[in-house]
Amino acid sequence: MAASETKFHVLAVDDTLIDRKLIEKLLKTSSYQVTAVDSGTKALEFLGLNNNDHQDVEVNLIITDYCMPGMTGYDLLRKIKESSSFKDIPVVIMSSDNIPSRINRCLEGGAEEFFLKPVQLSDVNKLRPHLMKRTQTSVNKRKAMDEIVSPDRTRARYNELEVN
Amino acid sequence: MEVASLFFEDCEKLINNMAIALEQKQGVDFKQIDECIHQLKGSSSSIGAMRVKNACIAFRSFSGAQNREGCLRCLQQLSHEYSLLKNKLQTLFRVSVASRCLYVCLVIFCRENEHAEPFPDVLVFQLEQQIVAAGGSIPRVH
Repeated sequence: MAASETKFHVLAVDDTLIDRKLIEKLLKTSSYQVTAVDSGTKALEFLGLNNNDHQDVEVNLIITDYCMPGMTGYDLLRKIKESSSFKDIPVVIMSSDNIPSRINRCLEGGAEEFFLKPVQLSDVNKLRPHLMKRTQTSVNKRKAMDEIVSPDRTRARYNELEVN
Repeated sequence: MEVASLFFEDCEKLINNMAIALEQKQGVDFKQIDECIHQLKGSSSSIGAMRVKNACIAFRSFSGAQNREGCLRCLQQLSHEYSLLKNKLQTLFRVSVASRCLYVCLVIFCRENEHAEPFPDVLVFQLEQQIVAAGGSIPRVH
């Protein structure tokens, strides 16, 4: 029970079925919980961005294809980073094209990593530090805030947030 | 073979569509062809099929230049690369399941393909699954 509670939840965004299946397989093999959607718009809906910026569901990382019709991976990245509720969610971009200017633009736009396809397990392993870092930050923030509230509640909260 | 099967289905459909588009007497829709190449380039990249991907890149320049003859040649080359890949993957799946000898097969496959890129992990998982389903076991060698 405890193990499944501490599984990180990754939101994967890609307009092609094969790519969604591939990334899902890689992520599940690495013990992540995965939700796969086929567009940036659906990703934002899933997050609850259209719902008064209230986060409906806990997502620990977003991995998105760059080349998608309508909203590109870069557009999605910017929307996430410009949102007060979601800007802290790490975003990773994937592409089959090795274009340095594109890669730089994404990294400068706030992407944590840029993966070239075919995405391998070794790439997925690079995600973990970005997730651990973030969890640690939220633990520290929560701790600081809760200490102002009440000592008993702080202890309970901190236990819930502990991650392996 | 699910991911590989999806890829094969996709490829065959796209190659077919391009062949049909190039046959149109009233005028070739190069935009449609370009779109097909784009999709094929994407999925071949994802699955690590580098030779098919490279064939797509070469194809792109001819469809961009709206060169029908060039496109026909490229389509032939693309079909050829695709057939080669399909045969190799199917053989690899068959042989590795029959012999339950995954790593030897992968080494042989990579040598034959002469490309520096490692065999995509996703296909390795499928192979492992099939071998285990056939009653074999996977030695953990790193």
